[in-house]
Amino acid sequence: MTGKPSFVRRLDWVGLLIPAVIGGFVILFYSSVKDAPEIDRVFVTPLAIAGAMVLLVVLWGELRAAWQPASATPDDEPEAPSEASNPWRVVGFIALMVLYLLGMAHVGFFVSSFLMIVAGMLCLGVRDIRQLIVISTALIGTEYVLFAQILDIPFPASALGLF
Amino acid sequence: MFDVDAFLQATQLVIDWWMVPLVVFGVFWGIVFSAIPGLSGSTGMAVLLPFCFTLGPLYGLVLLLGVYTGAMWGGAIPAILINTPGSAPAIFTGLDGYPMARQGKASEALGMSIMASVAGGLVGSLALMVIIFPLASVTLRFGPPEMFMVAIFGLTIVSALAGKAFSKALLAGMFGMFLGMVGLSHTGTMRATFGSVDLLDGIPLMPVLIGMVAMPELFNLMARSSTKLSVDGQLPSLRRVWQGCVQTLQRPKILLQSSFVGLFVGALPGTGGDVASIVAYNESRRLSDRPDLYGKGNPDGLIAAEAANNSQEGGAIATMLALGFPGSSGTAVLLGALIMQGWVPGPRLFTENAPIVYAAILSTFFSLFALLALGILMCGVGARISRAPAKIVVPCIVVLTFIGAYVIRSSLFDVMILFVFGLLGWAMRRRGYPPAAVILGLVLGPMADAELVRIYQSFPEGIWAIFTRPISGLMAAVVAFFLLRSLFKTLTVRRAPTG
Repeated sequence: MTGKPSFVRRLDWVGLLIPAVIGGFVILFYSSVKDAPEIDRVFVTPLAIAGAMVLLVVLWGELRAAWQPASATPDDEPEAPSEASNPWRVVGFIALMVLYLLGMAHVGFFVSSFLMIVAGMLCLGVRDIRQLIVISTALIGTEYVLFAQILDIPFPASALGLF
Repeated sequence: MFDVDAFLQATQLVIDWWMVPLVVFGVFWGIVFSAIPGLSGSTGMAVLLPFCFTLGPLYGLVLLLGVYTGAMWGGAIPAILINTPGSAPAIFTGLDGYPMARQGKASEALGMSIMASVAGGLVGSLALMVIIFPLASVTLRFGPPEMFMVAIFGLTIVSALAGKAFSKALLAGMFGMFLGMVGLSHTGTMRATFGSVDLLDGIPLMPVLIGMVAMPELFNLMARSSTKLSVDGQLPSLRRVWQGCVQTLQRPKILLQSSFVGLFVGALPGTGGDVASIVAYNESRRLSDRPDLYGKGNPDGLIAAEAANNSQEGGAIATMLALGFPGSSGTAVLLGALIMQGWVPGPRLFTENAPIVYAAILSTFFSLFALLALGILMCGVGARISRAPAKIVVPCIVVLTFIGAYVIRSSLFDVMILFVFGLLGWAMRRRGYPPAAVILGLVLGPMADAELVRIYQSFPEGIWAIFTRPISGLMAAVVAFFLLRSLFKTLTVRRAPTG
């Protein structure tokens, strides 16, 4: 027996999260300037009011799309997402990026960058050891020479003493 | 007015064999610095500044102008090939350039971008030579009301980015405007810094730009990593790049229109290539018979953005030389180089050092020819990158973008910003919010805010001052006309299926 999914199940939670994040940010922004001189709010106040109105329109569109899927107007339709053959690969890569961010300060900027390229290529299906080593070394070597040696840009020192 | 004697002396100065290697090296340096995400032409110029000081006034200025010219185009390479703008203005190049690359026209898109850049640059350099003083006097009349209207004029492009979801594009644009106003305001108020020192200067543009524009595409590529970056069916070739160049010349109307828009916007102090590209792209879409094709690989959009980006150089340098206002970070470095040589930009510069200034302007023509030759050669190399498998290129680009975000300010905070906005941009794009609208708001929002504050500080009638001045009043009428026309079109389209 296949019944019509409930209103709550039909709701696009990610679609609701985006206006919620934007709305939350605008509230935080406005609360930081509410005690500022009036001249500081001549642009912010009308923009916040207009933003709140547009936000309500977007939320209404999301709710209406869940309530009456057939009546959704072109305004409410998301653009067709790109074909995602393996979303878990993206999730894995995002996890690697988080580790990379943490590693920058602790393992060393260039060492973590080297490891990120190797791990990223492995995650996406590269199995040729030569490719993994040669490409990662060439890219990071070039970046190191360009940024750290020629341009003398300071990179964060790692706890392990690696660059 | 145009000084014929100084011009003749300048032609003698530029007929010098040393000019050739200086110009070629400068253009190459500019292309490379601008093409690497995270670096910029102004960084490349700043790196060469001490070297220029030892070269002498004319050689130093010629070298820097070469870098400036090369940098105006270099950002288009990654924007077209991997949807990662190397510089802020290139975002509008990528808007149509990247879809073209995905359709198998990477070589043609690169060819179009190079020819549009050269043509735009020629218009800018000619104008710089001929109308520098009249242009400077017009822009001198631009006060806060006019500058405010320039920002509002640019913001109306949100409707062009909207596609099917107008309200979502509007919300994304407003979000960008609020993001752009984070940090220390013009009156000294801290806005949404939440006690963070890193946010005092505001949310950095480049990490947000790379995160919102490049990351979503990289996430999509990760999911189908067996594919190539572009779906180019044929081997990239110089012949196809050249075909792109020729196709650009077959569109003289859009080329000239966008070049003049860029020239004018570039002459306005405080604007830059990004604002010039936004306004020119918007105008080309508005005047097009098929505005619906913009953002989907329309060559006109690519040409408009690139031509304006390069022609603004002429206007920006004119304003910098004649008034001493740097219109962008690039002209700010040029200004620094002039001051370092003991010259003070302004009207006296043309009476005291006119031949050298004219010689430097003449050298920009050489730079543009060098850009055409070097650009075509580098297009061929760049287009081959687009055929590499995504499973190899994507991790490399991710690391390059992270390093690029870091090196701009040597800040890990910027890398965090890149990551957060990358995820946000991915989610927004999947739900129909155009990330480009956020960038647009981020660039133009603070400008509109600052100019409105100046209006209230300078004019007792407040915002009504816009309607009491002829230029700003006319611009307000034009904006109102376009907004009403967009609204009318939207209502007509909505009623059509039910009617």
